[in-house]
Amino acid sequence: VTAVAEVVELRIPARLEYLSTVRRLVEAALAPDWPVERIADVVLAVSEAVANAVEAQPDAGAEVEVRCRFGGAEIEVEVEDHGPGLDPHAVPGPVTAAVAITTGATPPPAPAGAPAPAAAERGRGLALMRSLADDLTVQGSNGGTRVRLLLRR
Amino acid sequence: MELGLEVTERGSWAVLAVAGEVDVATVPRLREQLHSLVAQGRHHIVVDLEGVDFLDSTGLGVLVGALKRVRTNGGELALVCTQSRIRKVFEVTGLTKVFSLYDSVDEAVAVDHA
Repeated sequence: VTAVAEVVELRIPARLEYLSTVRRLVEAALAPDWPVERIADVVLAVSEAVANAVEAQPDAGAEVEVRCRFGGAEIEVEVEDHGPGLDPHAVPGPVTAAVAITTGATPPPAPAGAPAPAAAERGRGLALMRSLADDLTVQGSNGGTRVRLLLRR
Repeated sequence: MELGLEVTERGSWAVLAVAGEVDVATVPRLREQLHSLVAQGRHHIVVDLEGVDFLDSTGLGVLVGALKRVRTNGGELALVCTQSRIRKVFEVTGLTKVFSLYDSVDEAVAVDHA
């Protein structure tokens, strides 16, 4: 068990080709100590957050910041982009939650059973993050979106 | 990141074996392959996910889209998935109620979907 928290800060170009590299990094950080099933949860949650951040910024030269803090028993990951902010219509769940996200407030706890409609092709990323993480905070503004994920071992 | 896509025939079924990491960067190839099968009139498709190391929400979305396409044509799309970490992605999104998940290709093609 890691006694001292390890910190990794990444600034990556907003390109989807970097996604797998971020996954490898998270995996490497947790691999010695964490159960493989829980590592898979972290890898998926972080990948979804980074994918959203990349897709929020179609402009060339845009960047995504990823900050990871690994303790022995928990990992905290912040993913920040400088896109136009989350589209409330893209966020599954009641409208009130979406409004809270766009205004920068901490969204209320995930409502029970608010997944994307069964037939929808998009819109499951945030629901996945909610299900996998012990804590999820999404802060949005006109200047970008910051997602904070906390997962415990 | 390479995505392995291999199509084989099993009676009336087309079996698409996927290998590697399915994420938003690689998913366009999976989407094209599935659309192309449907366009060729293959409306009974097994997608074998046993070789998949990672599957994200966009991968789920493409599978849902393909399921809708084949069902519109009176067909079916069955999934082979025994890895618990991949199965979990379907479970936490409620998609185990939408898809039929099987333990093997043999089991998937043996089911009468009529």
